[in-house]
Amino acid sequence: MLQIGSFRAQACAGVTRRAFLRAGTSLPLLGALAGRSEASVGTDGPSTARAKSTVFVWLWGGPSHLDTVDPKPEAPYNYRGPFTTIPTREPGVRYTELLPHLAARSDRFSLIRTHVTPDSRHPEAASIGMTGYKEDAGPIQPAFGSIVARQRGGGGALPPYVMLSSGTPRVETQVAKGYGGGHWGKAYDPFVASCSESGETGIPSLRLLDDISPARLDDRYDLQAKLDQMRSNLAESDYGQWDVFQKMAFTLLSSRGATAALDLSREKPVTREAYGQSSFGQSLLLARRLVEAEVPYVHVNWSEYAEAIAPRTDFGWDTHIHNFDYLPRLCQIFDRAFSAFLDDLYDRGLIDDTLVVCIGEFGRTPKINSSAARDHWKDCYFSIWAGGGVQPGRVIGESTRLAEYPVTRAYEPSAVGATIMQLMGIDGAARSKLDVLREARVIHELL
Amino acid sequence: MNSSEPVAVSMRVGGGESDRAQVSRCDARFLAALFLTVFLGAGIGPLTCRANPPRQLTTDGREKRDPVFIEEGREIVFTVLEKPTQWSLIRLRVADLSTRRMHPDIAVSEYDASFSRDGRYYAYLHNDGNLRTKVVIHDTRESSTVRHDPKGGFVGVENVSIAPDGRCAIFAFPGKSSGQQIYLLPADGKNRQPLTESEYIDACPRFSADGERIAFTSTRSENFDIFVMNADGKQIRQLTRHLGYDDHPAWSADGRRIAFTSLRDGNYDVYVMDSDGSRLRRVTEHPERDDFASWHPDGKRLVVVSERRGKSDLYLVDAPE
Repeated sequence: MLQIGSFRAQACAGVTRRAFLRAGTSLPLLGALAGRSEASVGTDGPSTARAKSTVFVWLWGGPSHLDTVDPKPEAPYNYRGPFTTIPTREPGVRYTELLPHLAARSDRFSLIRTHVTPDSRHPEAASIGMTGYKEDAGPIQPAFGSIVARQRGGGGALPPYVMLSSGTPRVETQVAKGYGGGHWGKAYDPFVASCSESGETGIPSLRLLDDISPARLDDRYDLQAKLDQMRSNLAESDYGQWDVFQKMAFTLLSSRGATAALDLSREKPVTREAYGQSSFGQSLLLARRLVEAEVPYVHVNWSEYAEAIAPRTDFGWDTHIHNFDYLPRLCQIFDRAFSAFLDDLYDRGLIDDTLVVCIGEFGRTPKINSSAARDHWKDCYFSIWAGGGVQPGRVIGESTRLAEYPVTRAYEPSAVGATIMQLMGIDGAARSKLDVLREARVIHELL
Repeated sequence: MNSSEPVAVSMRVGGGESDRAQVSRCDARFLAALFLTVFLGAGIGPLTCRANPPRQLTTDGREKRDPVFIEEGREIVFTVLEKPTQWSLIRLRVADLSTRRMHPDIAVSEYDASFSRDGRYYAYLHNDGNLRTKVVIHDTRESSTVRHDPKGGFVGVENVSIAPDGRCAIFAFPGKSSGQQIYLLPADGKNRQPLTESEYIDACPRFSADGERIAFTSTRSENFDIFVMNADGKQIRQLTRHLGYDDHPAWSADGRRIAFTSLRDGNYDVYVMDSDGSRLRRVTEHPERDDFASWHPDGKRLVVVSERRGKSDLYLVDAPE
């Protein structure tokens, strides 16, 4: 089911039919609104460009690397923590006991254990993680998804850069600025859609006008009636005030194929169940549907907020206290959903064309803090890569004995971005032309 | 109980080596149950060694935790992820499975409720800031509330449990310099005192029904194991000795048995042992999660949070003797 949203009125008098028709006819050109096909694909390294879509899974809040995929069972207790380790399918590679399903599938993805980032504050590190640039290094740079959206454009009524989340990544007091178009403008921001634990999709950008109550996507007559009702209430001047995403949402709702892509009720129950009844799990399933609909870049947020627990926030990975109490829950949801997602991509033959990147903004302190938990750690963290030209089953990078620093080559977020671009066919020449990620190194060890 | 309710068989599915190894060890009884499950359309549920099938008590599938029986087993209070941003306390009547929120006007997370023996007092955790949770003790007879706010920055309390006579509550909280300790809080909410003192993590304390002992989890064995101590914090004894994660201990009403969750077999399952750590029995065996066991007052049944087909619900299962 798709929730159209609660439309908040601006002024609804004097509506003209022409205004709505304009929405209905011009909005299919959303690709143009988002700058689709603006630049051509470069030529160097086309052999590595295999991915048609990228799913960027954002573990917001900073998951502990030691307590997940880079455990140090030989380290002293006050570093290694209390979780025991289990074998994976890769000889000599162990995860903690909290990720049994991923451990059983370690031959389906590759793991990087030596990421570093220059900032240990959530919003700033998130911006770096999504753009490859520091927020204060000049104008806000476009996010990886915005680059893909600009270069590759979208397909039909679906936007080229979709973010599945209740909102763009933030903490209680501050947003992460690097989620979208940055200095390129809002036209390259992500189209945000939320997905509840029961699989209902919501479109926040339609929370604009009154008179529309939630409607079922699979009820075309009901949806059409709602749109007709809106048409009758909509002033031409109001339409002109809509932003690109409100217009985009209208176009999307007018397209049977686009609405179908967002409708999880079309999935078999057994498929939905495999991902688990969590917002994160159902969002990953929705991401797979968007991949099938040829959306080039889907960003799946673990949560909108980084905080592990705070009023009106949605339980991120920021476990400054009770890290060892909270992680079993967080990891269980992640382990189930992400494993099901990988299985689904493999089973449907989508994995070769779909690049999956799973990463947070940083890791957590290897030494357990005075509150018996872990704080932010920017000098060593992990990412998981699958499909889209990535060779599976590799473990890239080795951290120090206490998982504090890389022993081998360190990878900054800009390298993550450059590798995504390379695999999506946006090579060095294209990036130079766009003036993004010029100096960034592609992580060839993955390829 | 509807027709799709799980039956008392287990079925292992999935691709892990451990899964396959366990399937290879299954016996004829398992295969017969599997046959019945697949070909007769029966549901999939936790394995118990007893005859009665689990009874599903909730069906919404939303994430749940911390169930406890109250009103002599006629009701259950549990925590549900009611919204993406909020844990809420829910009261369920076992007879008709009707539910209602305990605190309908609260818009922030509350969880981990426990009750005194006579139901007069109950304690729970209330989140009102970033990583800030406080203890609330409510006196239902006087309609009065005591709050214990540890104050400071990231200073959340976890795992509160009220004494059977309501005279105090115990909870887990970071130590003064390191580790996480078990604290005792008098019913007036003032002057909390540490019951444990170590560099390790002590968590999830639970009073025995007579109030004389406390079961808790601790990493003093360098992984999570179940321990027990006297109510004054003395005579700490280790009950489980396995490298896998053991957590969420719960006393039977007669004090003879303790149920707990363990990852020792590669999955979250519920086990029962005698209160001296002997006679370990596995209660659930299913590839999805079983957790947060709590005893019915009759000592014959447990309420468990079980994930089935990706949905998290409460189930009533038979408990081993």
